Amino acid sequence: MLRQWRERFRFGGGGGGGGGVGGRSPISLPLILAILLVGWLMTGIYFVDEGEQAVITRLGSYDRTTGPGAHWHAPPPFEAARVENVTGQRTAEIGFVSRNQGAAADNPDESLMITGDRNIVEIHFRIYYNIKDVVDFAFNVREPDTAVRNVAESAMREVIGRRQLEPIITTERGAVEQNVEDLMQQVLDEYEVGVQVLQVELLRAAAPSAVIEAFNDVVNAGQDAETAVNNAERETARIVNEAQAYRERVVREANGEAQRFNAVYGEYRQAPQVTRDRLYLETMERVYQRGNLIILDQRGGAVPYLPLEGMIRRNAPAQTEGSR
Amino acid sequence: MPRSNLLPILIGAIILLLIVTNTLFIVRQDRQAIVLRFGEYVSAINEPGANEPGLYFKIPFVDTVIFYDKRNIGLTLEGQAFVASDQERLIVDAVVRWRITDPRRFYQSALTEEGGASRLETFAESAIRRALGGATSNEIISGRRAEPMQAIEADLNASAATELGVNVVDVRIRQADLPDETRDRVYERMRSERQQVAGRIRAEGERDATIIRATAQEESERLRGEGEAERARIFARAYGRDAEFAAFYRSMRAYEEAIEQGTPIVVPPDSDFFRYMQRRRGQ
Repeated sequence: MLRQWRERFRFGGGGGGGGGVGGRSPISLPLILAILLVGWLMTGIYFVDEGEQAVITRLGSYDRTTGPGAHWHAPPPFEAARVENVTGQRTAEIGFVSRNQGAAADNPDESLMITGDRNIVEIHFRIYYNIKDVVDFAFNVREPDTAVRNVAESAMREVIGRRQLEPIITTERGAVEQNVEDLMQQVLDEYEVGVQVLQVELLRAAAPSAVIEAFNDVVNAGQDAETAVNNAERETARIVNEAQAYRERVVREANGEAQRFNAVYGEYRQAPQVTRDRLYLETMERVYQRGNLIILDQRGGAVPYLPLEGMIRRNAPAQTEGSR
Repeated sequence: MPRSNLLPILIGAIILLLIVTNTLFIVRQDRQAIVLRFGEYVSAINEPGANEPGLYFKIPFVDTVIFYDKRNIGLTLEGQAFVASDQERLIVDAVVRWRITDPRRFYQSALTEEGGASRLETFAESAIRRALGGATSNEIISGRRAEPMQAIEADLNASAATELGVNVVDVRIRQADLPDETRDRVYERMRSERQQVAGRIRAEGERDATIIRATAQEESERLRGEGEAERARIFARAYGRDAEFAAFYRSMRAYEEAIEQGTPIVVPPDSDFFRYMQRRRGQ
């Protein structure tokens, strides 16, 4: 049968003109058909990389899921393959646009959120997710990656809206991440989108740039207060030590003076009048030596005018030795 | 002879192909279809609830097939401005997730997916307005967002669902934001709040510092007092043995300490110091 066909074409084509396909060439129609058939069959070959899975539909209906390796499915239109990276992490960045070298450009439309105490906070975060059910992912939601992104943003805004500004930017970052992750997973499971949220990473939670100065000033105020307290503590040490020194000095001086007195008193008791006179005269001697002595008889009645200023020996050289 | 043989084959093949493509159709897993005969509804294939994707036949040129998405579709509503019950203006972005559940109804009321989406958008806008207009801006922005979202969803399912043949799976308020002028007001308030906090922290620092200093001063005075008391006690014990001599002795020391170099001292000649001087003169 096949042979007959071939014969027929080979001879029939000899006439030339606009006739059969195999006209002047030795290539026969069956060969072409065979090549086309093989080519058609070969379109069903597909490769699945490590970490990927392929969803095969037969006549539009889900048939099977295949893992990594080389596979073949019946050529279109009978079967079709859709290959998805399943274990690979997918990310969605919200609130900013990544630039090279980790720089991030703020996207205020997404990043500014209202907190529960009606403040505005700037949030940058990243979602890591992968596919937990490739069939759900392929068939249940249109544009699943966009859905994940929308859900992430909505969840973050809801979580931020339930909390106060200060905890968000300080202590509750971990809790925010966890809440968003839980809320996202719950909503995505409702959609049956076949996505597993792996991690919510809060990259930035801070006051918006319009008010950042005022926030920084609060930090500065804390530093100022601490400095003031530190200075006071330092002064405390000085004041208290000085006072202790004073106490010790005064007590010791008093002790010394008391002993000196006791010693003198001991002598005085031996010969009271003599000691007393001697002490008096010795003291006066030294005092008058140092002082600018003026002897004045007042019995005349009227107090005479004395040009005291001129009489004072100004800055007299220390020819008189110090008392002892 | 071959030429006359080939031509009918080709023509036959083309006709066969035409018939096949007009007779057979595939309904994909993620799609649904309705079959119309001369524009009249005949049947729905693979509609939600029925898992029947696959190959189907129709009468060529008589039956028409219309495909719809079976999946969960996102509809984004952007920048819906409205006034909350506390007169605060708000701008809300929402995402409505919906799917076509009754393709026949959907065809009758919307014809195309785009048409359906825009009808649904109109429904959603008014549903959002109804649900959020009764809530305060606080409730919308923060607190219980879930409630208005569920209210919108229920509202939509009651109105749009029956009319359009769709089901609203979820409504999420993506953003509920203040308009720009309100936002500036918020910034102003945030700034003043921070300034207040900063001022308080600084004042507290000053207060603590003052207290610390005062405590130090207190300790200092106490220590000094202790020292002085001790000194008084020591002197009292020493001088107490002979008050009269102590006074004399202490006076002597005081004169010596108090009178500096060059201090003018006016002394009458009959003072004790000059006692013998006068006596000799008097003789």
